[in-house]
Amino acid sequence: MVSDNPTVLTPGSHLDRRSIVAARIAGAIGLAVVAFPTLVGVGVIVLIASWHPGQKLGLLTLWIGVMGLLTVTVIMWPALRFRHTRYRVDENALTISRGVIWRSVTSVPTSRIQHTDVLQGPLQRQFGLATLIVHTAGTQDAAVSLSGLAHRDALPLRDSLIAERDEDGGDKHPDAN
Amino acid sequence: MVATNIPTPTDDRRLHPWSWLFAAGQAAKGFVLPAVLVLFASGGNAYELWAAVLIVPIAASALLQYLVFRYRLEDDELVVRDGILTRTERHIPYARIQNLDLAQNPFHRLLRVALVRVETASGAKPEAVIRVLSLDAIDEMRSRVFAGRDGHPAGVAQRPDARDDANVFFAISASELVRLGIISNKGVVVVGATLGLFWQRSNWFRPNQDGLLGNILDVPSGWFAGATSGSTPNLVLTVLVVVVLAVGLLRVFSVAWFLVQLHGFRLQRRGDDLRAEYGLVTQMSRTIPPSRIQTLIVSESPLHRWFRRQSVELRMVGGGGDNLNAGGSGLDGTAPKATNQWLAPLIATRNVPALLSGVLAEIDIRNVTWNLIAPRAWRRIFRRQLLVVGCVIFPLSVLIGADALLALPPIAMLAYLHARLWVKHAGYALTPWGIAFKSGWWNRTIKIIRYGKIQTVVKADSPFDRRSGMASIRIDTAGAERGGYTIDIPYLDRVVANEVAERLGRESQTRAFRW
Repeated sequence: MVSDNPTVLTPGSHLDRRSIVAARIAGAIGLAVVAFPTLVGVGVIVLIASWHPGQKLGLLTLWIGVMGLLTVTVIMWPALRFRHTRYRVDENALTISRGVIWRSVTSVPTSRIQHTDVLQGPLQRQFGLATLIVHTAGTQDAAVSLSGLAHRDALPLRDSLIAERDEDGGDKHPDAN
Repeated sequence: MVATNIPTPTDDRRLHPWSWLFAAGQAAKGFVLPAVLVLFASGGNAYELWAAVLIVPIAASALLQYLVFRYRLEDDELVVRDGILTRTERHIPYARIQNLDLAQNPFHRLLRVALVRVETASGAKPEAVIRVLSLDAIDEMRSRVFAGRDGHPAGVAQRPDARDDANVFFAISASELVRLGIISNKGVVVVGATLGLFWQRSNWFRPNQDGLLGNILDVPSGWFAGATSGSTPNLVLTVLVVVVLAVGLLRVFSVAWFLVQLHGFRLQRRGDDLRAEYGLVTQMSRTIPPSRIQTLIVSESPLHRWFRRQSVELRMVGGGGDNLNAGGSGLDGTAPKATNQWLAPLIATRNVPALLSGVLAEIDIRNVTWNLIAPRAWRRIFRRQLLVVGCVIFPLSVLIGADALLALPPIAMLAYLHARLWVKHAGYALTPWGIAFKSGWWNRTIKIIRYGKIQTVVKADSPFDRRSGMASIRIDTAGAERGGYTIDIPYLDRVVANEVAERLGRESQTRAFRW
């Protein structure tokens, strides 16, 4: 039970690399949803409105600039997120480090896990990815989720977390003491 | 758990026949009182009729509620059936019931009934609120629910009408309640409501002098109007008198409030559990299983320090919350916002360690070593405050002139003092049994969590943290306040934060969590 190995400092494994591509595709879809309606709006103004040509050019430049920035973000951010997300499971705890700008290391003792979910969205199914959600009795961290795992890794991970819990702190009976 | 083998009639049981009266009273309380006030104040007109019209459906629905409500004491579960249009049947296993809290107001006492809250660990809301049962029915329910629990002889609050004086280990005297009233500002609520009424009277409704209440209320509001239209010295004097009166009244109301609400507050040991009893008008009797305390909170204001006193609260899961703190009326059974409960509303500071170890033997805060947060953190606090102040002052100086900048030096001075004092008084202690975190220099609090109650440990760092080589440690527990961690220790040196996170992780992993 008592472990001397560091639990918070040592980095764990990366998520599945395919999660970068999946996140980029999701981002691209989101970008398209924003880009097309605004493009129509900008186009209408450029073609019809009685604005000064300079103003029209300015608006167009603004649109291109914003979209360019968003495109760069959609391409870069998933890779950055991937680089800064690590997770580790040992017999004592699930530890997740994440955050590109605001960073955090969350440690969930295995004995505190109430139940777990493995979710797969449509895009995740295409890439064989999954989201693992660990539920605790906590308030702020009532559900700790980790998305971008390989589905074939997530299932054994879930099983091991539940197995550990059953061994030590499994009795959640309210008058167990 | 272990159910009795004696077959018992699992007949449907109803509420006490007078239940509908209390239900109607509860539903009506919200607007009948204002309606009656308006009635008096306006000298009686259409409101009278409307009030009568509204009371009829309330009484009818309360009666219907009484007719459809059933509960059943099965071998191992309590079954509660309720609902007029949407029927709900709730099965609550006896083993999951943490306690049955009782509340009795004078009307309840008159009819020998009480309101019962069935508490499980499912959150801040009681699993079921049964309004109302006769004391005999409560006895029956209690004996069935707790039949299998040898270790919990007092897993239920006792009938409020039966008090015994054994094993009292904390009690609060009337003089202490007076002090508590002076220390806290509960009177604000009462005074605010009164002033609101005056405002309403003088602006909203044209006073009708025939109304009985109208005459009384018109005296002060008329006096206000006369005073405010007077000359300047008159006005200053008036304001002064009003302020002094208001502050005095505030304290008087506050004292009265606590004398009524917490009358005879005492903690008793019943087997493994504690029982808290209090109240003059509405008597509360609630059970606190110490092992289920998630967080202990010791707090003090400057006035507390003047009297050498502190207040101690606790947080439980499914404790139903203390309506005193949450602002509920105590009898309506609605879910309070926070689940803080009094452990000791007011206690001499020197007795706090003994109280805490009396409640949970392992807790000993007498000999803990307090570690300070990073001393250089004051610069970050100071800088952040200057930024906020600057964002207000500079636009203001553009708007009203450069004079606004004169406010900058004194505010900066205060910000500096605040930053220095805050850092000086913040600290944490890692003990063999748990972690304690103290914060604040004006109002001070100490939060205590045992390792076994820690759910997650988070080490977090922002870009500002990284620049100054710091990090913060956050600890989540069950039943914390929404939107925040129970303990959030900011501005720790990065190396220290890593050590604290390691230690907390190790300590919480090696302990099983039991509610």
